[in-house]
Amino acid sequence: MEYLVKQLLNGLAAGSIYALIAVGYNMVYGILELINFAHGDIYMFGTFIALSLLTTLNVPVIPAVLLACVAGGLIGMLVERVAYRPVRDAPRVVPMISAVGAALVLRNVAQLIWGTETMPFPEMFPTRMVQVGGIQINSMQVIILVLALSLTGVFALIVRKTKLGKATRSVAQDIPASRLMGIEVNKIILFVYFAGGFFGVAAGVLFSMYYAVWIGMGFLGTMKAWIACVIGGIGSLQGAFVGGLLLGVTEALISGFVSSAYRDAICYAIVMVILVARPMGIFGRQVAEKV
Amino acid sequence: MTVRRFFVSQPRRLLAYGLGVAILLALPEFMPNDYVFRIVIAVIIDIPLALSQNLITGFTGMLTLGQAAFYGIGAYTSALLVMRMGAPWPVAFLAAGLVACVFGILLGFPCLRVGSDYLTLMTIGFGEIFHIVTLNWMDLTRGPMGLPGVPPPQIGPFVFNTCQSQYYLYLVIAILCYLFMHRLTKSHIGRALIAIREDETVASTMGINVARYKLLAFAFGTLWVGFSGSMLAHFLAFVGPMTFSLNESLFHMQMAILGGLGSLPGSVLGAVILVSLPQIFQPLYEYRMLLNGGLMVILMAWRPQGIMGTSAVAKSAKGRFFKQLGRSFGRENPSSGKSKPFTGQLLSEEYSDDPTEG
Repeated sequence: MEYLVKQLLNGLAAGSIYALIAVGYNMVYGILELINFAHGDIYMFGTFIALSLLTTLNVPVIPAVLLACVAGGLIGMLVERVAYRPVRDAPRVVPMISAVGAALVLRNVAQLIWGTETMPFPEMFPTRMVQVGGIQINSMQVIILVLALSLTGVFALIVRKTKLGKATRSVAQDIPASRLMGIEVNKIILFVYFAGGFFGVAAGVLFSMYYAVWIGMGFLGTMKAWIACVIGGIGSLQGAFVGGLLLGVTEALISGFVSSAYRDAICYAIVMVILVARPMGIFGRQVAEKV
Repeated sequence: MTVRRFFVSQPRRLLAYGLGVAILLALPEFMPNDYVFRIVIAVIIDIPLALSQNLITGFTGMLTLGQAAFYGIGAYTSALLVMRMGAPWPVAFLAAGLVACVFGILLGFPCLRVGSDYLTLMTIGFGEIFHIVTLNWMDLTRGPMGLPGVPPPQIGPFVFNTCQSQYYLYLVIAILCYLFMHRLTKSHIGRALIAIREDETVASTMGINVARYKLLAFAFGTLWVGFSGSMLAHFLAFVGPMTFSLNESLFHMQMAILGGLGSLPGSVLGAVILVSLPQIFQPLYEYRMLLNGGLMVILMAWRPQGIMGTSAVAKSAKGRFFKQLGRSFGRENPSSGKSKPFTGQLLSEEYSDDPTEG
């Protein structure tokens, strides 16, 4: 029982990070229907910037993380401008390949700057074990859970309640019509990529606090976010959120009770089954294809 | 057109083919050392990979990123059959292709149900599953230690244990692959695949069984990858899981797109360039992802059809194929302003000789 609760907590902590990555990722996907292969590498890059700011430059925690988030947002905008906008109207295969190319460039640059080693992330909050009803709880997990959930909430508020968010949702629905309504589509798309990078880096920092920093975390994050979106349904923010949490919990349960070596393989297999059974995801709605 | 008439009517082509064959046959004589020779063989092994990726992505329009898994399935099948079961090489070779093909069809079925983006995800997922299984299934694959000591190919008493003999053997296989892909893409099957790439909905209303042809593309596109895997296993004398990661799948994609999606000679060129260049520019090894990735971004923005590809891949919205279709039905084409009544001979006249031209 205690073991189960512990695994559930592990899963929720990891899942809340996945959810935060997935929400930003989903936003970017929803607006152009482009799989942003570079999403993970953008947040990897930003997380490394945060690491450098914290360790080499000794910047205090909050400004360092904020700066890194802004940097991540700017990298997102740069990638959009250089790799995606020129090919936006081309058939879908073209921007996807371009995205893979952008991801490789980012990864290689990061590798040249920071090397290929796995590095620990400096502890930003003191970790201690708290005894709750006979079960030991790691305070770090609780902090991560709370931070990730509140950041996701902030993101959802921006999308739901602000004028900018309204314009974003409009662009996601119909680009020509939004343009006719006076929305500057290119600016909105840039904003979405900025937001994706910004919240991505925030998630990346949490991810690194929980695990570590390494070059491969970008691709890992892209895949986790994607799986979360598939589980939850592409284009639905709640879906991505629930999908992220579900993925984290499922992973923890699989590695706790089945096999940790085959954890990712089983997750992929589950996703493939979900895709076959419900191609639009668990919460997604069937959308008629535009002809 | 029979082969004989083809060569009699086109003496220049005959000359070009003859010259090409002569160069390929004489190539081993000009090899300065075994290192260069082995790179040449590596190029030959990679040619079917580029061609297969091109069949699936360039001709059929499915962005798969899991080809490395089939490459690995072929390599492991061949190596295990020879080493554990004592199977003769030709049997192992054929089995490698067939097993990869069976897995390709098995993966193809669920992929038919999902849209294009999910298809990419599923193929990546399949590749990752394969990678994880090969890493962890110690009894079969020996995990990260891999399978060392795979014997060289052997037909009857003849053992292909020199670079020269392996070169000729693999060259024949690669040429067979090219001819196979050439015949396939120039046939009605190839035209159906191109139609699916251009517009699935229109293709199915034209009576093309989209699911069937997509499965065909999957089957043939993985069959040759399996053969390549067998070639690699017996060439390197080693099979390990690290060879068959996502990066390998990306590499297949890069070969296909650099040469040109929808162009078979382009794929050969892509394989030649991408396999040999990194060897020439060894000092730039650290920058290879940067160069590869940058190349992909620039290529997509500036010349998405690759070096020798068809512009159809690059056309926005609807490709040339269906623009012609519209024109043939007498619909005004806004760009040319000309209209032509439908003659009932659309496919045979307007799009017969070279579906990849453009």
